[in-house]
Amino acid sequence: MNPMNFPHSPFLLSVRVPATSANLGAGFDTLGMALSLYNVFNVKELLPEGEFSCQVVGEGARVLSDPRSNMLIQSYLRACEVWGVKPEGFALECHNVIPLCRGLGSSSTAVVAGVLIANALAGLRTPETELLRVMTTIEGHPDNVAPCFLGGMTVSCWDGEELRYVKLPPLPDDMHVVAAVPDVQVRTVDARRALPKEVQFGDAVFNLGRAALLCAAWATSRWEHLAWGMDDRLHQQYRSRLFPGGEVIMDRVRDIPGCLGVAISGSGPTVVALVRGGPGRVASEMCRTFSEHGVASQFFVLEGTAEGTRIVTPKS
Amino acid sequence: MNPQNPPCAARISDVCTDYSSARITLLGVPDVPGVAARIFTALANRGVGVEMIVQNNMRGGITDIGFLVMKECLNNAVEACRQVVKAIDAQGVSFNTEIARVSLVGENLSKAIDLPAKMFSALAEAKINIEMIVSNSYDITCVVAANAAEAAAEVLRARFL
Repeated sequence: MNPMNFPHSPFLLSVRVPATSANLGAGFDTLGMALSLYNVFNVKELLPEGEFSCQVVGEGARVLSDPRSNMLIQSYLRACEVWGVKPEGFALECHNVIPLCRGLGSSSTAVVAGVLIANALAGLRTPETELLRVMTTIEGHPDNVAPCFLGGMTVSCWDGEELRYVKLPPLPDDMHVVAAVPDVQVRTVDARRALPKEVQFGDAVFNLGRAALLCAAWATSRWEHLAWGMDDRLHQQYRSRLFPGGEVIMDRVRDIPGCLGVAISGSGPTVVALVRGGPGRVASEMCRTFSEHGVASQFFVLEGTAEGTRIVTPKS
Repeated sequence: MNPQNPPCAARISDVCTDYSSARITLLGVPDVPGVAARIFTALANRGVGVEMIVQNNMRGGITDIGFLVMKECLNNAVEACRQVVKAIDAQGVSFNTEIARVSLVGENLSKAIDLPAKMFSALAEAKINIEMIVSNSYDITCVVAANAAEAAAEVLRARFL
C-alpha cells in the first residue's frame, strides 16, 4: 500500500483497535480478551521525517496531544528503529473512547496501532508473529497486546525474547461482557505493591487448576465452569481493596443469575462480568454498587470480539 | 387581569424527580445519513421507547448519540444497540442506570428566557453536575446522578416554589 496514492481521502490509514481485559481471573499475566470497545487512529497526511502532529478527541484529549509523549508515536518510532526504516512524519487524529489507566488496555491500543502504522507506511509485510513480538517488547508483556492485535481470547507466554500464544474460540453471541469503570486511578506502582512478594504453595496450585480449567472451558464451550476458572488467589483479592466498592462489587455480581464469572480487568480498577442472556440486572447492580460507594463511574455493555485490530485504507 | 401575572406568563407548579430511566450512549457513531434511523428502528422493533435523544457535535465524522430508556427495557435496548453498533462500526455502547430526572414543571416555561440559566445556576451552586438537558413549554428536565437527585430537587424547590 502506498498512502500517497490517496491524496484526496480523509485519511491515509485508519486503525481500529479494541479494548482488552487482561489478567483475566486465574490467568494472571497470561490470559487476555478483546472487547468491542474501540479506539480509532487516523493518519491524516504524511509530514516530513520526524515531524508529527496529534489531535485527540475523547478520552485523554488533555494529556495525549503532545506528539513527544504520545505512546502511539513513540511505539511507531520504536518499530521503525527495530526494522531500520525511515520514520515518516504524519498528522495523527485519535478518537479515543477507552478510558485511560483503568485496566482496559488503552495504552496497548496505542502500541499496537503504532507498530502497525510503521509497518504499513514502510510497505513491509511482516509476519504476525514478528509484529506481535515487537508489540510485546514495547509493552513489556503480551497479555494485552496479543488479544488487542489478534482479537478473541488469547493465552500468551513471553520469556523476554520469544513469544508463544494461542487464540481461543470466540464467545457465543448471547454472552455479554459488562464493564464497570470507576473514576479512580489505581497507579501501576500501587497495583504492583499490593501483591504479595511470595505466594503460598497452596495458592499457586489453586491458580494452576483454575487457569487450566478456564482455558479448557473456553476451548470447549463449557461455560458453566467459567465462575471457577475466573476465581483467583494471586491478585484480585489484593487489588480489589485499592478502589471503593471493589471487594463488594465482585461478591454482589457473582451470584446474580446469568453471571458466569467476574474479574478485575488488568490491574484494575475496572471490573468485568461475563453474562449470558440479558445483562440488565448485572449492569444495574454494578451501577448501584459504585454509586453507593460515592464513586462516579462509566459502564459499558460489550462483547468479546473475535476480530482484532483492523487497518482500513481508502481502497479497502 | 393582574399585570403581575399575565395569561401567558411562565408559571412553575412543581419540582419532580423520576428514577425510572437508564441512559444509553452509542459511542463513535459514523456521522452519515440514515444511521440514526437505523438505531431507532432497531429499538422500536424490540419495543423499546426512547426519550431525550441527544446527538453531540460532529467530530471528525464521528458522533455520540445518547438517550433514555425505561430501566425495565434495558435488556432489549442493549441487545438492539449491540446489533446496530456492530453493523455500523460504531466504537461502543455505554450505559448508566444510576441516573434520575429532575424537572421544573409548569406552563409557558419557554417564555421565561432566563429560567434555564437560573435553574442550571442553582444546580451548579449545589455542585450538582448535569448530564443531559431537555426543555419545552411544560418542563425543563435535567438528568443527574441518582444519588444527587434529592439534593437537586431540594435546591430547586427552595429557589422556585
